[in-house]
Amino acid sequence: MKTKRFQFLMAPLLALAMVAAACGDGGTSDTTSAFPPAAGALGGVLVESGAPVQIRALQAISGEVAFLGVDQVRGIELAIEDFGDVKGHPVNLGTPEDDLCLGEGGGAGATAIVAQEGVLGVIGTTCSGAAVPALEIFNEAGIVMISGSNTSESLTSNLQGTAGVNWRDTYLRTAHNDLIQGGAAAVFAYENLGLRNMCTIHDGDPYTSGLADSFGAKFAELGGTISVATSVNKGDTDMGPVLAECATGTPEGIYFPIFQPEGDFILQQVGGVSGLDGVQMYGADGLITPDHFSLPEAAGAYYSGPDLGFEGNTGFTGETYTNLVARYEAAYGEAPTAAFHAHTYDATMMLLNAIEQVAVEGPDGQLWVDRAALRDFLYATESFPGVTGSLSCDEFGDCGGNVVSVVHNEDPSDPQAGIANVVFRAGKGAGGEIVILDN
Amino acid sequence: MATATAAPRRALRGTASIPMWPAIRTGFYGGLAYVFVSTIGLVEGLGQKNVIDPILSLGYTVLVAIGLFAGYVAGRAAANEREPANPLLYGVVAGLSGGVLATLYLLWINNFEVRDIFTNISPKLIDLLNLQQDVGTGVLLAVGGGVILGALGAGLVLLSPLMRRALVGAMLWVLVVGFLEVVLSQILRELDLGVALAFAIVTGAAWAMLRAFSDRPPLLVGGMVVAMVVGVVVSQLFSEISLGLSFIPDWVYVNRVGGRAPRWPAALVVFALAFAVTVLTEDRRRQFRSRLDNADPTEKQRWAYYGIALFVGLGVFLPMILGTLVNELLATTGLFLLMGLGLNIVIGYAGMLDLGYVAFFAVGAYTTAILTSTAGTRDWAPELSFWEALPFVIIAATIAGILVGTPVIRMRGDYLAIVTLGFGEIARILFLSDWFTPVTGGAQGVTRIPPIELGFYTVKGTNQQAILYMILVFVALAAFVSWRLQDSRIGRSWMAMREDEQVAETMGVNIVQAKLLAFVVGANIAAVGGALFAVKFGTIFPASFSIIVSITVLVLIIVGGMGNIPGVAVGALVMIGVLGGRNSPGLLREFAEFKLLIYGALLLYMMLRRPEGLLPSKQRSRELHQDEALQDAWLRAELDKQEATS
Amino acid sequence: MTTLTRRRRATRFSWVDSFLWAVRIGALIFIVVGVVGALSKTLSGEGVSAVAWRDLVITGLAQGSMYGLIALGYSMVYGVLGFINFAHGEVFMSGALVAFFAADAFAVTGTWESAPVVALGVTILVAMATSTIVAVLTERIAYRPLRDSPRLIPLITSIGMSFFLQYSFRGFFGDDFKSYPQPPMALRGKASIFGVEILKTQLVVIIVAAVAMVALYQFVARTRMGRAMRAIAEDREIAALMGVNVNRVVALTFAVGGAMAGVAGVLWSLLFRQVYFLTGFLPGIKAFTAAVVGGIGNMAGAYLGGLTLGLVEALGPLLVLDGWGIPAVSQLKDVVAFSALVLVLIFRPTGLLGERLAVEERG
Repeated sequence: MKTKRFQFLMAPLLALAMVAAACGDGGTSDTTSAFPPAAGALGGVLVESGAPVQIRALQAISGEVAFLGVDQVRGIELAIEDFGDVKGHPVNLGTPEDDLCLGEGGGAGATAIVAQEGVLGVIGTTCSGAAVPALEIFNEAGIVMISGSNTSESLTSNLQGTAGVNWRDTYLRTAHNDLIQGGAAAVFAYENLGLRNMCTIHDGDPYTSGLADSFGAKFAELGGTISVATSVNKGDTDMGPVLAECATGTPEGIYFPIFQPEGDFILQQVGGVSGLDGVQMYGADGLITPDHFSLPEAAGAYYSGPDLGFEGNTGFTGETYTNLVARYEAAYGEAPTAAFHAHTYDATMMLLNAIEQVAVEGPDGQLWVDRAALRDFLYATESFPGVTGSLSCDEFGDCGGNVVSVVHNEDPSDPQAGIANVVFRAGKGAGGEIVILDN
Repeated sequence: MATATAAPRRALRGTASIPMWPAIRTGFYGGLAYVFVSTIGLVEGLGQKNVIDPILSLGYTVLVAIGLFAGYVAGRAAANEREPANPLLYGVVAGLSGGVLATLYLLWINNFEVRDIFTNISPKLIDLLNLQQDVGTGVLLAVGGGVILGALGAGLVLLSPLMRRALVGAMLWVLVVGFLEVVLSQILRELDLGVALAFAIVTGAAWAMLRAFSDRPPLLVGGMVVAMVVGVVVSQLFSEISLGLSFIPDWVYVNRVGGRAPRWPAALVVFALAFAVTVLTEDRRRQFRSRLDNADPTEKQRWAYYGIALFVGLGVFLPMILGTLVNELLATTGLFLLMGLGLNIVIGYAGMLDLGYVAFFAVGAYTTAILTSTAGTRDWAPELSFWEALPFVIIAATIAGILVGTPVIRMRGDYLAIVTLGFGEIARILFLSDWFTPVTGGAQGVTRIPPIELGFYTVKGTNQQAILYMILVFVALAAFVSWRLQDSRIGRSWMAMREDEQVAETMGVNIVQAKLLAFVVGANIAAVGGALFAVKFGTIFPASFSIIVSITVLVLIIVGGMGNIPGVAVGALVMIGVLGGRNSPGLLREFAEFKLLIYGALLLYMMLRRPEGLLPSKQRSRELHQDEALQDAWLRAELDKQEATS
Repeated sequence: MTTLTRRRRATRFSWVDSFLWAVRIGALIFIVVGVVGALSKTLSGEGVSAVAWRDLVITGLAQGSMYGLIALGYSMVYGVLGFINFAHGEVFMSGALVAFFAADAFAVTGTWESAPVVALGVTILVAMATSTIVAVLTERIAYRPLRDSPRLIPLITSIGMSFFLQYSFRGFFGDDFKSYPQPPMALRGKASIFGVEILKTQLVVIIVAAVAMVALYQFVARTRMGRAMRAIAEDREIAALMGVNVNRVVALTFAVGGAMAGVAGVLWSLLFRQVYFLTGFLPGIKAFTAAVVGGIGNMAGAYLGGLTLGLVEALGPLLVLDGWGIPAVSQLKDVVAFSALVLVLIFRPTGLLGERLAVEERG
């Protein structure tokens, strides 16, 4: 009896306390009343004299796509090195947080960053899925986040003036938008390769399924047929069944914008499947790696991806991309495993430059950075010179060049040449339509 | 009777003719550990983060810990020899033995290019192991360090238990302060007078009233209510006044490229403080423990209520203090704890090994997401509120529980395991599939899941504190349900069924009903966890419901202590809160890359050394150690026999 | 069990029985309608062509052969010790991963092409040796001390071992994909057997697996050690009293299971060519499923279960689901595989060939 009464009484008490506590989480502001001008809508950060300017990285450091996240962290580190001090203050990156390529990781990583004092901006995330909760948390804290590899249209806009469902006004990216790549890839398949009937294969990843969908939509719009739209699972090795499924539609080409190793398996096994002789294989940026290109079966395949012809480009501080890659190799002992280091390099430059531009210097060498001003400055970026090309941000934070290229792997014994062998380039027009740049 | 044949052989080999064999062997294992952590890249990977600035990086810390531990084990072995030897000598020998192995390793990696195969043996690692000098320095460091650390570790054996505990504890505290840089800084920076006062009032009142009214629960509870209300009011009144403690983290930590780390004087202070506190409070703690041990049953029960009262008090006030990061981690821990409590009913109570438990979590998450999402990207979206969706979550979970439960009713343990594992995968793939994309969103997941409306307050998923309170309420509910079920009629039928199904059935237990009920109750708890998960992250993807989640939950209840509610809580705190799961970071974020390796090693260690878990239920621990006791008795008899014959 | 309890069971379980009957009948109808749909599509020339069906059968057999080889390790360990060795998939991975370095060296020196039999043979030996060592070491370190604990304990231990092995191998060899060289010239392309065109690699996989299977069967059936193994499976204490060295035989069981997994590792690499530290996880789970489908503890059952699962995976989605007009059926391959497991157990509760190597009932 006693125990029961006890439990009964505890319940409302707990509820009461909870209510009060929930109401009482008053906002903390990092403003101080010293020299700085009145804070804007998002507050601001006072950097003490001699103290570092804090920015952070939120990238996939462990798990299956760690190679993408690590590559990006390196890009950030190189950019910080090149940019140097911000008005006499060093730049501190802290410990990179892991977004785990999942919502859970993005949320927790963002929380860890917000818990740290005076963080002005974040370069991340690696995966679009991790970005959604993260950017919600950063948005509430007024922290800007610039991604070098999110491509989901839901994070920015459909390129025709409608905001994506997950867009927030503190979010920007230097990567391309899925819509552009899928669409441009379809144009190339239809116009240049003359394909009329295709099969698409994704692997259940939001990125690949989005790409396959936007490819399919544009291809059908152009007048082609997607006879079979199917999918594999990550971890599958035996591609016989999925290729047989493709074969039921007697396609002329297969678009498989997926990753390694499933993409490798598809290429390796397609030769053994009857009904698919001479079919045109067409992959995407997940497979644009020296490893994949050196597969003998990859000869003759096409790959769509963000334009990686950065060779002639020069970054914000005058560093050439060629030199940047050389320094990358010297510093990390290996060639870049992906192209996204260039995107985060530019993203970091944009962020540091914006901080420097909006920072107000105090009498004793302090800095005052207004968060809203920082955000607005970044959104107003126009023709910013980057190693990935000239960056201009639209009203939904899409800053990337949005130039898509298609490469042709002619000789597997020289994979680097294949990766550089651009046969088609397309970009975004003013109204979001696809404009062919090179043919 | 079941007896292991391995045990006597090991005992015989202990008397091998090589002198000081235990020390040499221990040192060899220590050397192997050195080689292992270096080769897999742990030393280099953790080389960036400093534990004590600028002396000790985390990578070196691991090596030092290996040396100390090996020395300690060797020293203990010396004391256990037939003719007790000098522990220090054993420690030194162990250090030498490990040092020799390390030397061979260093010579190998310095002279041969092995990076083509062992990718982590990089020039940077070699530099680290050589202390940025040539290989001679590395060898000197390995052998000399081995000997010194071995002797130091062995020296621990000579100390009194109190000193040993104080020393080791103080070292651990230094590590904790190094690791929890973000957390501690945030707590100290944001601590305001209101919360501090409220905390003091509530704990003080609890303490005073427990002493005064310990045999009058109504007064006790009433007093606690008053204290909490006062506490809440006070916390509101003074919430604007900062305590201005941020000078502490500013002094303790110094900014470096690899992150902020405690400077060495601060580490020294922490060490001294922790050491002093352990030594000075020893007497009090001993008194308290003996009082607890000697308490009669009614007094013990009273202590249990104190514990609960304190727990509730902490549950209410700690989230106000701990800061966003810890709250976030605790919220995730709470979600896993919910799953753990549910799975504990299925496995711990009813004895059914379910390896696809994540399916129910996914059902809860998806039901909530589909019914409440406002994204408007799917064909069918009724856009209900969380509370309107909750009944459907319960219905869906019940149906799922019956669907999974019925076919497996007649299956024996291991068949059950693989079939439930299969169901878990089936659920995930169906949620992911293009087939169901119009409803479930497929690979694109479901986004824009609205927050929970309480009428007077909106619990947003991004508000770590609010969502933590929400989760804690449901955890308390689930714990209460489990607790009541444990000693209920159905609980007893579950236990009977777990012990022996046939006997239980003959005794009149309705097996079908009992099994299905276990599945349904377990499914419902997990599904509510899933619903909260959906709200917390506001967006869900099928990748969050992989098989690894089922395994993580299983692991946490086993590590914590199966069948025991506090055990499950401890398991969740350690495995999820501190270490972090596959899909969620933990407090030790620096280890992210090596998390699963540590997970595996910890599991192995636990199962071999403490299979009943950290906080076992009494019954289960008895079951597990019965064999052991018998085995020990047998082994002793066997050894005696040998001695008699030789 | 007495007739009394059986009768009580019968009355009490009636609604469960009707549910299970409904599942059985429903599944049969679903399968038949699906198959008829798919085949009628083939006949009308729209769906999967006849040649493609044949290819799928062979693909399924090749995949199934490898499942069978891995399943042996699960099945034998289960038969002898009565627990699921979750880490067996990692034993398979270790062989495939380490043998890569042998294959790669052969490819660089040209032996891969000039003497394919030697090169392949040595590669297989390396894989077998690695897998055997890993299997025996895991037994020695992790499972032997736990031999008499309740069933859950070694299972959890093996899960821990699985993580530990995966991430140790990742630490040793990195997390990138190791690409085996293309099969030697002699094994590329298709061979014609009785007028049926088969990929030579698939043929090699099927044959090598069958040979290994027969050899193992002879070993267990004919040799002293094999007899000892069966004796221990029957009753460990009695076998020990009869003079069987239990530790040695258990170690041997792990060694044999490991060796078979090593063979499977190289065959896998021959077919799929990419291996990395997580390569063992999914095949491990599938192989365990195969062992259960065939009848756990039963060696012939493991092989048959493997083949069955391979065929179900290859044919199931297109044969059953496509007929119902479900989109992207290949994605549902694992759904089909696990559903098949559930159905097999509903129809035959102890697997296709029934349990063997009787296991003592323990908590």
